Amino acid sequence: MQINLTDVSHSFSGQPQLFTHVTFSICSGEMVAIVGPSGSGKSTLLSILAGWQKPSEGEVLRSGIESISWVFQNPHGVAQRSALDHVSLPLLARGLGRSEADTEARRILEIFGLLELSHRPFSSLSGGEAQRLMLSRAVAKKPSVLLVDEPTAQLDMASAKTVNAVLSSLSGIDSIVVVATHDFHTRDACSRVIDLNDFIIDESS
Amino acid sequence: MRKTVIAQEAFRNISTGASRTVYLFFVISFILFSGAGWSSRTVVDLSMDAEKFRQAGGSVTIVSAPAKIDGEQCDALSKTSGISSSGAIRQIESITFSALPDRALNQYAITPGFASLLSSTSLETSVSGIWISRDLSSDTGWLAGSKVSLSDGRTSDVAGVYDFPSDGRDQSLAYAVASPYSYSDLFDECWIDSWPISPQSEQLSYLSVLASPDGIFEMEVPTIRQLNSTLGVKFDGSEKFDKVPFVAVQIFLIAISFSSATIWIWTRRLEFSSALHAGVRRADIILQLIIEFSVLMVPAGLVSAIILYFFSHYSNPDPWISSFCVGLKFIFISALAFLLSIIFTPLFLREDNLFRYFKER
Repeated sequence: MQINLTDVSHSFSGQPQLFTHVTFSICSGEMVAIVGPSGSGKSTLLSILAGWQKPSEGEVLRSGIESISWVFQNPHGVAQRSALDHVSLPLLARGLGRSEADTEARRILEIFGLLELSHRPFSSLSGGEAQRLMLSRAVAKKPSVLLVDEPTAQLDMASAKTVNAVLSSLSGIDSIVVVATHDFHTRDACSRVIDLNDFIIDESS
Repeated sequence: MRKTVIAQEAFRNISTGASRTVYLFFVISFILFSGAGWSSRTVVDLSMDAEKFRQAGGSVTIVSAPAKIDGEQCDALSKTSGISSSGAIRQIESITFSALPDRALNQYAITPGFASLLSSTSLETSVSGIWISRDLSSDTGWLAGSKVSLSDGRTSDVAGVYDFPSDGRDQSLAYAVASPYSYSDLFDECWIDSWPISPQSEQLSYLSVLASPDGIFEMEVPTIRQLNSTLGVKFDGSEKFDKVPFVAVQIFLIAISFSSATIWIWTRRLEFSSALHAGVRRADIILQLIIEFSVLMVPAGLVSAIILYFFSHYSNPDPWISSFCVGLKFIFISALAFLLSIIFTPLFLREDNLFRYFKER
């Protein structure tokens, strides 16, 4: 599995160029951090990697990519449904029966340190717990590409630490993991860093 | 997803409230019942108007031909389809009761058929006695079975009391006495209560008028009038029914039902886009929504049908089933519109909308 970006540039209509001539490749098993200041286009680059947005210029090639999972900055879930239900859903969608899916979901929740919260409704989880739940749900889908957008931006230090710990454990999975972040600790959890500052035209020079 | 799993997901959504259960239940109930209730009551109101028209004597046609009406033929008209009762009448000498010595009351000779026209119950020819109006009964306290004294010393039995309210009708019988007579004498008028009123009824009424051997009416031409014309010459139920904007209300109801279901799904769009992102097939989401809707539709429909039953019953002079069925049709139409929205709205949910939703949050 591989994603190749060649000379990708993007701008929204009527707005200045976000980034230009971005060129890089990511292979499965890699965990890459995309860093840059706010508004530099980190989330936009993720949506281009996902194929949800077309770049203004350049080429994106995806080989062997079957599915993509996305974890957003704001954890989203069904307030009334349990943590276990959230992780079971992608497994049930793969055709597993209820008991098989729940068993597998509990195993994943244990990895992410959420097993004790499995029966709690989503609305009762803290920000850090909800973010870890979203990561565990994304992993349960066994995606080819896992895109994580600013996972610690809305969290306090303690919660961010637990999420970063979980992110570190993702480096072993057989997926392409791309994390957009401006958190140094999150960046350190990744095996490679792509800095969007290198692809921004400095209009003042 | 397996079908059993889809059903489980639907039931879990309902039991936890994730389906917006309360909202959906009340919206479905309100929409189902408002349309059904309105249509049902409209039909009942039409029936009540028709009944009011009949009760006020609007459906009674009077053919007048002094001393030319054959009482037996007039009574026999009630056996004709569309004519509920008919009877002949003629004014005879006034009557004075001992209790009201200063007041000579109008007295009418009537055929047995006329008595049933007055009382809505048939009167055996063997039953003797006089019929008195409700107003006279109220003033004197006489009721059916009372024995009354006449000023000439004779007595008479009261065979019955008839209602003849002051509702715009000809008031000749409002404070009077009616005495059943044999068919041997000729009468002045033939009253025909026909429902629904048709031009045929008027033609039929002429059959009670004796004609000369050459087929030409003797003396003057009989006249036709309505007992009470204050509520209109005729009551055309089907015309009034056609004027009710049932189709427009149905279209409005379809739009409201469809929109409500769309809003219901749209407020959960993040959940469904997220489910699509988790790998759930769109068809499975639609099936899950249909199950959620059906589970709430059954009690909501049942509650609506029960209330509709009472609406169809209340003050309805006609059998309740016809207005109930009209209401039921509205329930089905609303449910169908809900269902169509549930099938079509998820087609506009897209996984990649997730990104847009989060940008907009």
